[in-house]
Amino acid sequence: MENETVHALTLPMTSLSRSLPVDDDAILVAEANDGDREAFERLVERHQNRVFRLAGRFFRHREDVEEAAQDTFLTAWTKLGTYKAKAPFEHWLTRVCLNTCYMRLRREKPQERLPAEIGSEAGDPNARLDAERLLARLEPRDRFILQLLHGEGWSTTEIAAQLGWTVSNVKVRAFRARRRLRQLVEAG
Amino acid sequence: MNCRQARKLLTHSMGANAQARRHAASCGACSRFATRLKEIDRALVAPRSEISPPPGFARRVRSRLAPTEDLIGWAALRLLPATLAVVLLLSWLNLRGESVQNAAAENPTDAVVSWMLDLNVGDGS
Repeated sequence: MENETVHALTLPMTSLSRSLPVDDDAILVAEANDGDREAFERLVERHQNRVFRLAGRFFRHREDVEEAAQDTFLTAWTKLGTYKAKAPFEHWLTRVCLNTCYMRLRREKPQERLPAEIGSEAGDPNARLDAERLLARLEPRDRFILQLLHGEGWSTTEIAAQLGWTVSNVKVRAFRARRRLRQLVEAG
Repeated sequence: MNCRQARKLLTHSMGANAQARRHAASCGACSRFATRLKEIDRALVAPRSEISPPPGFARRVRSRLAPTEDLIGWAALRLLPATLAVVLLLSWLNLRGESVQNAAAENPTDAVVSWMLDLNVGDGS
């Protein structure tokens, strides 16, 4: 206990967050809400890996992933006042990230960026390329919902909760996405 | 189970439905369909890109944060033309009202007219 106090006191204390446990997002959020950019920068540092991983689910190119991640944090900064701390901050940030990715995908046209080649993934590279090309022919909104259902393994209820959509809306979108996928696979 | 039903089930389960797979085992076209779906499922599960945040990403985000204090200033600045237009309009309406009142005040009443006419008659005589 004494050691903890000494440790806290010896840290450079430019703000309240410096003396508090590093895993306390709530403190950083409160400080960021008061306009503390340094606190927000620390929030970015703490959550950037997760946001990049999530954005990496939807975009192939580095610049797209980076832009989506950056837009996520910039949106989070401007909307931080709407975060009510009823759920963990990272859940709220996930929602912001998913909505950001969705909006970016909606601006993309299908087949806008076909994969030229597949890297070192295991399996038959031709089969994988074929699969990627089929996915690229889907409408972005259909790919988005399939990615969440099968890529993230979320249920329709979880997707609804994360995106703020109704469960029936998610089900309808999932049904349409699967029907389009079936048509594409059948068409070859 | 026919091909249509099997493919619906295969799509819903991404090729994993046992009943549909049994059908696919005896149907070449549905077997190929199931194989392609499995590959699509693998593509969905694998991340499209595994990109780590570049060094200094958080600092770069920080440098692009909208200044909250200045947001109010910006809002005020953006409202400036509208505010000026309203002020000008009100001023113009005010001036117009005054000129109408002045004009009304300058209009001679019947009594003044008759007085002037009498005076003129008197002057002329």
